[in-house]
Amino acid sequence: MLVGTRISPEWLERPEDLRFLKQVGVDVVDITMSLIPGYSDTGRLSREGLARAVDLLAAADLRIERINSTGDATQRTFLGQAGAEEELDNLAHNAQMCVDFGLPVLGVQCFQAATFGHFPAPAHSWVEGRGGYQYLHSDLREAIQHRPAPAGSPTHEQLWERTLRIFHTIMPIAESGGLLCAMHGNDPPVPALYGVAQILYDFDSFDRLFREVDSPNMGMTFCVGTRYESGQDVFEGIRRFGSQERIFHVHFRNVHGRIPVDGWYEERAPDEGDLSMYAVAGALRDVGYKRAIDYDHIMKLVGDDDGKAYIAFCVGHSRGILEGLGLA
Amino acid sequence: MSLPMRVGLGQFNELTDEMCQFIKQIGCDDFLMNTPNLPTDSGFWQIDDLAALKAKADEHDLRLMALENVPIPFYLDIMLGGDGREQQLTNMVTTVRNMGKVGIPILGYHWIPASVWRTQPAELLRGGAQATRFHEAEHADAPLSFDRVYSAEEMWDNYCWYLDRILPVAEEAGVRLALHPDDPPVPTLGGVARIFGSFEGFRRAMDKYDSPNHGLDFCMGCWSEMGGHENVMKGFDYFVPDGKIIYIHFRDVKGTADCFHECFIDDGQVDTFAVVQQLHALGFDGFMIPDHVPATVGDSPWHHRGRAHCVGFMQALVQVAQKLNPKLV
Repeated sequence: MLVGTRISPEWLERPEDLRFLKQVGVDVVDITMSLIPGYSDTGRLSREGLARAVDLLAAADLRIERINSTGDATQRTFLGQAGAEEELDNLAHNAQMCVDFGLPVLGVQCFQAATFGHFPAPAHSWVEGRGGYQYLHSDLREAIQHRPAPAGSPTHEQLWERTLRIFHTIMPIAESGGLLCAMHGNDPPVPALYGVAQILYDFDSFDRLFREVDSPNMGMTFCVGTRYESGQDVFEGIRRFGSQERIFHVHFRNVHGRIPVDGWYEERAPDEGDLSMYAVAGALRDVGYKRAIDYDHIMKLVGDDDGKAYIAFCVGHSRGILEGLGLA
Repeated sequence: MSLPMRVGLGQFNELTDEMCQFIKQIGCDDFLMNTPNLPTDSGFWQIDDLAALKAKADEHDLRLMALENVPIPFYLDIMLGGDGREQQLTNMVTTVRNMGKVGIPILGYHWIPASVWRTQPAELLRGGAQATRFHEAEHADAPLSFDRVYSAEEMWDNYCWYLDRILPVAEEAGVRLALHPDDPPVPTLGGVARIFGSFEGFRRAMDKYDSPNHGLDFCMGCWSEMGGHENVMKGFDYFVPDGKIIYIHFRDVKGTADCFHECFIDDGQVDTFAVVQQLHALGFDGFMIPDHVPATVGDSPWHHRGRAHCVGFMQALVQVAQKLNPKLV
């Protein structure tokens, strides 16, 4: 297994930050397409921009493992608005660019209800843990109350139809080019937020996705955090999707609390959530998973304004777990 | 009350609130300080100064486990058999007693008047990180560190003179003395023999001064320099069952005593997981800390990032070892 991390947009322009990642033991990185100049304006990856990003990373002996299309790039498609055709055309172009550059994994966002709009308050807040380190607490008890869907929000079935449209557009490109498409699913993993529907929040919904998009190149980012928050058995999920060879990327973060049981959850340091991350990594090994594990979200340590000490801690922890599994 | 094997932090000399918070935040409850910045005019550590350190640790719900190394001038004449050794002994007795009164349980010490030696420039590791290195041949023309040559026999005699006198004081004060290896563990540097650079050297010291209040600050880096993974395992196998490993510096190198460089903890010549599993199996109940860590870009002088990396790695190894063999916890 490899150790991966997402990078902040500005790090691409700071070679020393990329070198730092290499120094502490990161193998591969996860980027969003918005890091590539021009993408945010046009929705399209430029060949020059992507080439430059690949080169900058290579200079630090790093490579892109997963590249993510941003949520806004498919929002009109999900909402059934004019411009969906252009979005799909852009997505096809971007998938082809990934193929051309040999990038292994493409992430395409599903519809996230929070992007629909004007929720009364953010569900998450920063709270203090041991020694005053700050971590994320998300309280969903209000947001998941059953209520009518707001006007204009897409229905469950509309979302399925539109999601499939996206994947039916890009899968031929992915299949012919050897590109893996990884669905992360909803964060938070619930069927609706303030009445706005979501469709990829549990194992059954991933099963449906893989039935409907029947391709060996279609799979998932197995986000240990959201899968655990959903209340489902992470280990059963790893066995189920691992045995189908559907796990293309892993978000390796630890959590305390589950939504169906507690109504809230907390994103904690890797050594102090409800899960044994060693057991999680062991389950991944047992299903033959060999790609990247990424500690995912960054919590706040004293004096660590840019998160580097926390990153170092998480990468060290991941490396220690791999060492213990004989995978280092 | 006995605690399980655990990871701590250390190797700083100024105890700030921020440092205490950082230690706690990355999941540690134990720490040590190396040569704390305390007044030295009296030639010993005053009880009020030590009490302030202990109080600060308590305030943050941390265990101040050890002070490693008094300033060398506190006991240089003791090590070299100089004229001032009687006075220095009196002062060391006071320091040990003051630590005992305050409740700081361990005093780390070494027998290297000529200090730790390294060779310039630094070794470059992955991503251009910098680590210290030592190449004895490049120091062939080094001058004497002191007025003359000091033989191994003489250094041992001086050691015995000191231990004969200080160990009973430590026993009475409830303080444990933890001996650090000579770093680098070569026979002599600067004309001063280095007598604690081999398994036999430590066995001799532990046999002659066999007391619950005497043991080793087991620097895994130095033991790795002396003979790699096998030597590290040999040391633990021999000394852990007798309770002689008081705490551990968890670092590693590539190379041998006369030519090595330090490295990231996940990239050295010791099988670190095998070590931690063995420590767990042997019932080691002390703490271990990152020691020197490579310099990564943009890190602080104390290497917050490098130490966080090492702590994360060590914690994972300890957690896995305990999970694989839970009956021993």
